[in-house]
Amino acid sequence: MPRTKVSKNSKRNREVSNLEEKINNFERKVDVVFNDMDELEMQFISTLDTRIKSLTLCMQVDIREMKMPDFIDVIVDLVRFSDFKASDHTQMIASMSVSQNTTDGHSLGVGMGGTVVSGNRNDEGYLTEDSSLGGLSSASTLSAFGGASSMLKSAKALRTPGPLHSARARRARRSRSACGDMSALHSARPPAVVPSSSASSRVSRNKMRTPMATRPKAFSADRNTPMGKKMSRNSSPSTPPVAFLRYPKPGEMALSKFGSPMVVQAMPDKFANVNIPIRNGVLSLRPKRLAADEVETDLLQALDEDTLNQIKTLHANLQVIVNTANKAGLK
Amino acid sequence: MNATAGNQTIPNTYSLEAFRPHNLLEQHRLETFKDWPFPASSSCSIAKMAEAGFYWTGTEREKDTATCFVCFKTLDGWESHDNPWEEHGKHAPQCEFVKLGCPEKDLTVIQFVELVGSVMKAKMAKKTREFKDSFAKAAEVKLDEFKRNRK
Repeated sequence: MPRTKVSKNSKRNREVSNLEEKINNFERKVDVVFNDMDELEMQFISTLDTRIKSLTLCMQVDIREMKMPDFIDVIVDLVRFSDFKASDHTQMIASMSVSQNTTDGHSLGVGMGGTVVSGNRNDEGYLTEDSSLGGLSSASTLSAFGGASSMLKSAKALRTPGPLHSARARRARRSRSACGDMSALHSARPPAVVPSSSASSRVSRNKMRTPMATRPKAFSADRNTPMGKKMSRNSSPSTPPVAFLRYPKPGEMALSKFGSPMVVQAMPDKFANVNIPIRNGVLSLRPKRLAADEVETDLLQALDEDTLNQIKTLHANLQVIVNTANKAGLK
Repeated sequence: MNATAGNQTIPNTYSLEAFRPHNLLEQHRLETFKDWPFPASSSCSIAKMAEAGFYWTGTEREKDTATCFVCFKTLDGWESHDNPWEEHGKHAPQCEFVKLGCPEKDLTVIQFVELVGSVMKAKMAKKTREFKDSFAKAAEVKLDEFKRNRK
């Protein structure tokens, strides 16, 4: 029966094919390195893009639109962007221009600066008796701007003086409810108000603007509506704003922003106490006499041997302290 | 004044110093000019060079060499009547900083952040290119060596 002839490679042939194979292999490996490099670069670029995006998102509008020299002045005193208060800055500039004006001898400027500051303080964006007063005074301020070049800087910072501005400058208005406090606690940011690009170059307010559209809306922390999502949240559940802020102080309430479990290492209160982690929770002992029948038997089931031993050691330690105190004459 | 974050105390100037290695701030660029042949009164003074985005990359022999912090275009052979912004635009019209065309004092923070992004991307691209070139060269040398030894 005939069979396929397996041609035996000569030694030379084998060597050549071996060589080619090796070279091919090498070239393939080089290609892989190049591809890896490309991939790494793409990765870097996309990470960079996301970082920059999140950075711009977590900046307040006032910071974003700020000129670099002002920003450099401000950033030196900032630890986080959220520490920046636009109204403070505005007031600082206003007061600066006031002092400039007084040295220049513009008596009008002095009155103006004063009204701006008071306008900011009282005006909360709603038209009340108070704010109408403030609005009026800031309207008159606007006319006072005319021509005084030293005022231009503050004019820019005040961009749209009046009730709308102060509402924006003071961060979002929130209802004064319990959740208002809550949102202050985790320093959630108000929805970003993006001023039209033309507005930044103009001192006066655009006539054709719908006031409600650009107006910061009151929001509460526990609201989870689409509007709440639209708010320029500077973080997501998967990327917390900062790894660690601080432990809550004794007696302080701590809330998780996104509902994740929290590490709370706070003293429950200012009295001596013993907290023992057990299987189904924490055994918290307070300096109040405990009757023997108050200890339920199923409690013991939640204690394992280790914990029990630890409690014994604790007990002994406490006993030592008590004994020492007794010896020292304390009663 | 120091700011405290957590347990660490961070000096406040730290935040600005992070920009220095990349010459992102005009002040830092200005401070790179160790030796510049033109006086402060000329149209390409150190201040104007730094404003137009240039930092000093000169040597003792070639003092008048400067590089843009965004496009990394290096220019030398400056003359005292040269306008740094004009020269920058002429030699590197694709530069993002030239396109913006405004000095740092008129730049908004958002523009600056975007600029920083493009600088970092350009740096990465440059580094990658350099590495690839050197790697390709090394690979070629190895291959040649291998082939030669076989023959």
